[in-house]
Amino acid sequence: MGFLTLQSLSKVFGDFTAVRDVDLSVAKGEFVSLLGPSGCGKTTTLQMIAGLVEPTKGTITLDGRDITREKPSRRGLGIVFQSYALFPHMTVAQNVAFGLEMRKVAKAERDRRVKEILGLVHLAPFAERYPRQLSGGQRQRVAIARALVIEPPVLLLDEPLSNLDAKLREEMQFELRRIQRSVGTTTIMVTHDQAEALSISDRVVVMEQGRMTQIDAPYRLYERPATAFISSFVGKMNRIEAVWRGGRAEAGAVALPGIAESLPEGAPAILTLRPEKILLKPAGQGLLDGRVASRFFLGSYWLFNVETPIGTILVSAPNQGGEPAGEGESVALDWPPDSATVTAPAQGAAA
Amino acid sequence: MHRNGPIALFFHGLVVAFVLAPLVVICLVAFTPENTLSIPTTSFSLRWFAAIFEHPDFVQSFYNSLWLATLAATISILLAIPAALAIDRYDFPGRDALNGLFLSPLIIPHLVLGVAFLRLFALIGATGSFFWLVFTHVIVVTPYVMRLVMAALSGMDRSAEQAATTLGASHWTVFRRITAPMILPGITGGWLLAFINSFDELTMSIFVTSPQTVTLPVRMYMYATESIDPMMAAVSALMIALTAAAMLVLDRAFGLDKILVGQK
Amino acid sequence: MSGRRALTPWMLVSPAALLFLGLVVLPLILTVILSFHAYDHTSGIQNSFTLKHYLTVFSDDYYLSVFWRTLRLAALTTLICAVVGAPEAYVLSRMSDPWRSVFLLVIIGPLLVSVVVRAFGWSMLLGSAGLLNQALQALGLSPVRLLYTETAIVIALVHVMLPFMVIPVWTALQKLDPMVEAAAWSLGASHFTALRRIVLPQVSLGMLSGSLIVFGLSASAFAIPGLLGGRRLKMAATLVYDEYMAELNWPLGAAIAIIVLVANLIIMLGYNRLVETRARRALG
Repeated sequence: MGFLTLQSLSKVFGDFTAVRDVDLSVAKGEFVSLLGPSGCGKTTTLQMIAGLVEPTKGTITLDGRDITREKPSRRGLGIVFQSYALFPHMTVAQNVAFGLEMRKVAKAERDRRVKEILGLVHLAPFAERYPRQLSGGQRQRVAIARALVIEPPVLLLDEPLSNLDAKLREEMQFELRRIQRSVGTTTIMVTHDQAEALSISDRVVVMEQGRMTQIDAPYRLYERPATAFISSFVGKMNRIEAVWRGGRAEAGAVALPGIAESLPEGAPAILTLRPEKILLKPAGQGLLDGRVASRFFLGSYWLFNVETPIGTILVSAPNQGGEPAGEGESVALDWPPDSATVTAPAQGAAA
Repeated sequence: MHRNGPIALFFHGLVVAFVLAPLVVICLVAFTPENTLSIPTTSFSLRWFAAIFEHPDFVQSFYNSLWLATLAATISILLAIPAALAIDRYDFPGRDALNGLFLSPLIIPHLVLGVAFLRLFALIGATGSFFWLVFTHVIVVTPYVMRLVMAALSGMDRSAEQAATTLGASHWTVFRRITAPMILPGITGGWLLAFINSFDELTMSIFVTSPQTVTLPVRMYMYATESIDPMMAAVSALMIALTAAAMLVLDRAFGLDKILVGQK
Repeated sequence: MSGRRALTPWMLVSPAALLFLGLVVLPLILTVILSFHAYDHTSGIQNSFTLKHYLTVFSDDYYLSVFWRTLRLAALTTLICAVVGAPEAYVLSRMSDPWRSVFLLVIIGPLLVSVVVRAFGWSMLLGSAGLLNQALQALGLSPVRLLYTETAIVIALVHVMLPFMVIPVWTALQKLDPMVEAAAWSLGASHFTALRRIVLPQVSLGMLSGSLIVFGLSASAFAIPGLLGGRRLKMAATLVYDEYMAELNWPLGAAIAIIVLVANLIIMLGYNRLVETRARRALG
């Protein structure tokens, strides 16, 4: 049994089921992300853990203790809100000290711990500033410090990076992970950004329409998405319609290698293939010939739309310095068999 | 980016002159050394300001109004904050009706309120009571306070309250340490607006004040219907100065246009 | 827990609610009842009920003339406020910032100055030996009689009510995208056409709301007709005051007050109805 467990947790608002029979077990010290598009129930799940929303059904246990009906002020969890929810009329130090004050921690001890945590988030020089005098990234770190200073058993992060601009967001991802590692607090983060979830989590939970559809380590989620939805939501994916014939997938009389489950002869199949797994070769030297319809330069890699007899296929290639095949040029596509997956379309369409 | 043409500016000048004329004239006449209402041309005098203090009834009325407005604004705040919290934060039967009731003094002419209070006080034997006078003013100023406090409540970031709750604060602590400081501008603005409205109120008060509780506007009205002399100008100039000072505070703190115009 | 939660809002509103029930609803009911009480000049309020006061008000020439004057002056005030206030709000909205806030303050700030003070200021300006006549005489013109005329009442009413017209029109103009006017120009509309076809329709609701407030407040104004109308020119509010304080006929005064209240409520509720239909139409 995990440190924090959710058992068949559900939340119904009127006739809308926001969260449906969610089961999750989080180990101590683990960093788990709840990933999904808006309206998938991830925030509601977080709010139920925080105690801000009362579950319709199910239980939440923390370290073996049932906290399902406990007041939010008694749970002692650290929460970082999407808006940061800093107290605008208090200084950074007062914001951070608030939770300790509520716990009746003595002044000297309070000051020491505030100082320590502000040091950890690199905000020591800003202790006497007010939130409005800080940048977005600094406010975010105040919110993290305020949540962590009470030494919560679990830290809950609600879209913590969504209010930051792209460059800062990337920096803060690593910063967040560093802080979490150094205090070792069990952390649950809600996010709609797959890159964010993949880069800093130990495990990612994908939510779709109130359900958890896959719980896995980031790389496995990426390599082996359980549903069509996940394969399209996490990274880019080619989906090629094929037919199962003679123990392999065929499209337009071309055999497509891939890891396959056993399908009945003549059944329709879907081959899924990540763009970066495909190698561009000179025409005639690959599995499939095509023509570059369009090409985009994205800095660290190139993106191609290649027209082939079996449809347009997205290919990405790392930027090696030289200029690769241009628009209109003929190329061949090749991929190692174990990088593609063949499934029955029904399974893919389930989501 | 759009500029006003000369005709527009001329029109604007006329409107501004019209709006300021009576106020400017009062302030000038207040300093006249003459016995008649005239604009001082050669010398300024404070004799009519001094004359106010020879009318103890005016001084008494000033203190009456000051006390009345202070008490009415304060009581109104104390009643309006919890009421606004309930209406903004909870859904309960009768919520809209109560909200309408609290704002109703805005659409009931003060004349009607005055007549109604007079009837009630005659029946319960409260005529001329300062205590009851205070509550009539609470009724008149509460809509202004309610509007500002409600606007402050609905405008604040609710997640700050949730954050405080999850950090272990009780309902009362959340209100005292987070909600109240965050809506303080609305509360202060509401108090000042209530104070000014109570201090200036005439039409309702004239029905419910007794000779002992006469407020300054009522005293001035009575005096002005009998005779017009420069002392009235001096009293009026003092009231204008007082109002201007309050306006300045309101404007500095919150932006007067927001308080008077923004009825969000 | 849910039981306590349901009680909390009631506990929070109850002090204010009780005060308002006791000091708004109850006195109004008592006043309505009072207006039906019979009255005798020698023995005062009787314990019998009658419709006489309402019939008197609606049949006696004196009362009818006061009501007619009240409606006429309130309408005239409203019209002048609309004609002056709406363009002024427009001019204000086109100013750039330090001036805009300064003049907005100048125009709406007087709202906070006691109406007695403002009425007194006008009586000084308009009196027979007042500053306006002094100026006319200095220019060699003959003095005019303004104080204690309907003109004086309307001038002062416009002065007091103007902010109530400027505020809603200003608010409506604030919501207006400043670029829509430019868009109209770019499509070939003249300034006047753009104003009439693009700006005016969008601020008309603000003007309407301002007009109703101005009309309602003017019709129940007390200090202005009291100080600038003298003893002869009565309006509804000064009439009620006379019935109460001079005639001591409270039931009759109450009847007039109730008529003023009902007229006011009809105007306000009619306005709400109008705004709602407009909003519904705008939303499709």
